[in-house]
Amino acid sequence: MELKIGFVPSMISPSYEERTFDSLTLLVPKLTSEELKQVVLHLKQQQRKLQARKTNDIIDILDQAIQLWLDPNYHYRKLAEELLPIVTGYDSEMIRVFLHSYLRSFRKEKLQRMVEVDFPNPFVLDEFRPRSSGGLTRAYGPELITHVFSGNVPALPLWSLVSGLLVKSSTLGKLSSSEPLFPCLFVETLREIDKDLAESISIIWWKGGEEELERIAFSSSEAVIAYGSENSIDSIRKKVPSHVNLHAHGHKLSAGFIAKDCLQRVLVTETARRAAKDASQFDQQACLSPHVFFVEEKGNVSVREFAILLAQEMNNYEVKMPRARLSEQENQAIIQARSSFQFQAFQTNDITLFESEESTSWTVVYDKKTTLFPISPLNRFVYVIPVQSIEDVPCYLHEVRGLLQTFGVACTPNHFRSIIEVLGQCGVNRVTFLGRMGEPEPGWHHDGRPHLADLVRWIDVEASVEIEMDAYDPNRI
Amino acid sequence: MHYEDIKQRILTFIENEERDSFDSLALQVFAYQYENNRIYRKFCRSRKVHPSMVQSYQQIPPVPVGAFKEAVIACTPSEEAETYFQTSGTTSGKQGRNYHRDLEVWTASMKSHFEENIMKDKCRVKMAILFPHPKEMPNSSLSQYLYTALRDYGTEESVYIASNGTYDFEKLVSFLVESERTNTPVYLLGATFSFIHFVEYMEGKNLRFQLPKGSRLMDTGGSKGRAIEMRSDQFKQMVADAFNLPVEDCVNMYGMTELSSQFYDQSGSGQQKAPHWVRSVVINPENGLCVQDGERGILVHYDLANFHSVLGVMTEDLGISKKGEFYLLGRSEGAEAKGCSLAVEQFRNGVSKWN
Repeated sequence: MELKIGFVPSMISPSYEERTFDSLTLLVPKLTSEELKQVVLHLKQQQRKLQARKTNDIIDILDQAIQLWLDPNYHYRKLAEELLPIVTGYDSEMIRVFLHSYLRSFRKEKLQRMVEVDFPNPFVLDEFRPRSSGGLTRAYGPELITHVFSGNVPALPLWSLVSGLLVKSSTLGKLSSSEPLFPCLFVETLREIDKDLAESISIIWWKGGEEELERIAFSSSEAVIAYGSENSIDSIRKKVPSHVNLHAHGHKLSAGFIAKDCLQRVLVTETARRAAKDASQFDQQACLSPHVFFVEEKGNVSVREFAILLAQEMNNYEVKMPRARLSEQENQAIIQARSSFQFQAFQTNDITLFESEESTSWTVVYDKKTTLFPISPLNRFVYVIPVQSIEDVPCYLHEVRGLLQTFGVACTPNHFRSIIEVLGQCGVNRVTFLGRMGEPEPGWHHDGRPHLADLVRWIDVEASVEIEMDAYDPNRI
Repeated sequence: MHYEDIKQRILTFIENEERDSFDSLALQVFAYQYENNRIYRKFCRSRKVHPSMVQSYQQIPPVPVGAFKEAVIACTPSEEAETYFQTSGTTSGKQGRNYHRDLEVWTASMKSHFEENIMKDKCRVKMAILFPHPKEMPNSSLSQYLYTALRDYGTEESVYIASNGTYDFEKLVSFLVESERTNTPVYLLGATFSFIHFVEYMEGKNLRFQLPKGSRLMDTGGSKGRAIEMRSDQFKQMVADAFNLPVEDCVNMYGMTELSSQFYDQSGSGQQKAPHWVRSVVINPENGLCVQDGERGILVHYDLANFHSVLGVMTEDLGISKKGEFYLLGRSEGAEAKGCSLAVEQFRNGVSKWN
């Protein structure tokens, strides 16, 4: 099957490059520098129209698109469910279940919340509004945002796409090579609903690092939102001019903490199931996927027993939603990591390895020995570290402080506050309940920063204008 | 079976292929290792393999190289070992060790295959070694390898170019000039990246050499992960041009600390020639089974000369097997994962002095 994707203004007819995923070939638009300049000009013109619209109208359009996508029979949703497993290798059921719950977090009320979290008076995005301290103020989004989309989790680009639209910026989206499909399908939906809005969006592809195109894109934008590895972020950082704001989301590390009260006999299986879900979802490729669970000792079951239960639940998840096929390198990374722990386990009781048989599908390593934050080779490879209490956790986090993101926590109401106090101190910027790590709530501070507020610039009209101009009023008495 | 008995059998086999069979010897060695190598026995048990169940060498569980960093994998206590070879810096900061109770088999293996592949004329030749002497790197198998080459096949005028952490390229230049002047063939042996540096140095000084007929060059280690990366055939062409050598006289050696034998690529195609006491298979890392002929996978080597540690070693190298030969595709260092782990791993990397 062959499918032409991407989104460029009708006045240019770019060449297309093939991206092949097993039986599927996606044709992505690859522009020349001249064509890109034309696109940039077009997007900037379109932004003026977008700027004139009300934020609420944009929310309505996005909501309509989400409503369509929430219908399992909607043609693009069906297409996405059919093709995303081919593109990403992820299990189709996992994608189906995820898409549905993920899309829900972009419904009207969620979008409104996203705006209101950052702008207590959302009208500042539409017009000058009075400030309580006097004068007026208004917030403008960037004229043009270049988005460097990521591909590790399908549909993830929706976050930045929606953010840009909510602050009325035109969008130049650079597709990820590993998952170029979803953003294109979603923008097609927007076009079906509101052609004019869709005209302010262009979705293209170039190979990361391409000098000329990146220079044009970055220097014509007021902001660049980029997701990617440390290397690609570094390379982007070098090319973004100093007057352009770069919002970089590099790779992050996440983990879990399980309090001993959650190991009670009646609840422990559920706890293990939740942990297995977090560690298995999207084959652990998301920045919010846990590498390790810190588990409190002296619960009803021992931490090692919990690791066994977790292993069983990892296996259950694998039966229901099998992991993607891996490259030799990825498999190799798992095999080497396993053997390293296995040979340690032969010599000490502090380490135990639980692994899927005759496959690399899942791995649980119980490790009482390590003093460092253990970094997983991913693809459903997770560590369990016993701790006396949450107070033991910071010393594991110290070394990776700047890279921490999500903590999935299982706890009781009694201890919840002491846990979040400790995690907040350590540089964690998102805490969810265990089993929810993969689904951030709308309005979250992604990587610790406001989503929308970081994008806009403000203009303050001071009270002096309001007061002093009266002295010059031609109608003054 | 005792250490000395099995050692003698292997030495005999290395000397003469006709005197034994790889398969039966492999099963003997496996039984010996299962009995004497406590940690390997545990590993086999975890794989549910016992010598009584094994009918051919492919069924012998190979140990992933990473394991050498975690445990002493040897058939006698490490205190009884004459020496050990140690891997260079790694991502985990740990170094793998391969213990040798004595170096008799290791040396016989090295020499036999070296003679066949490098020493065309079997007489001593003037050598330059672009790698430190074992005095500086006592636990480097490559250092020991090159030292053995120089000691047993080099003339008295042979030289070491590297010492105290630096290369004396001026010394190498005068060595090469002298060779040109006296029309004496020379062998240049060393790590791939040291040749890359030297060719850069030559370019900077506008130097070119016309080495006398009969000269050869042998590199090892590859350039992956270095400042300058190049494919094996590119490298070969580069050094062939720089020294005016026929490409077929630029040979690549592939070896690893965890083994006791080496492989040679004469053609530059990546086809690595194994000695008769080594068998290589290509496996699918997902399930550990051998792949079909012509498919890619991870290389596993069964090396009889490794009788004191483990016979089967699972490498981190990608390869293809074609009609009994294997082609090395390069190292599969970790994974270019879609996810987030690798960049983080990097800040824990130690960089060895000779990188």
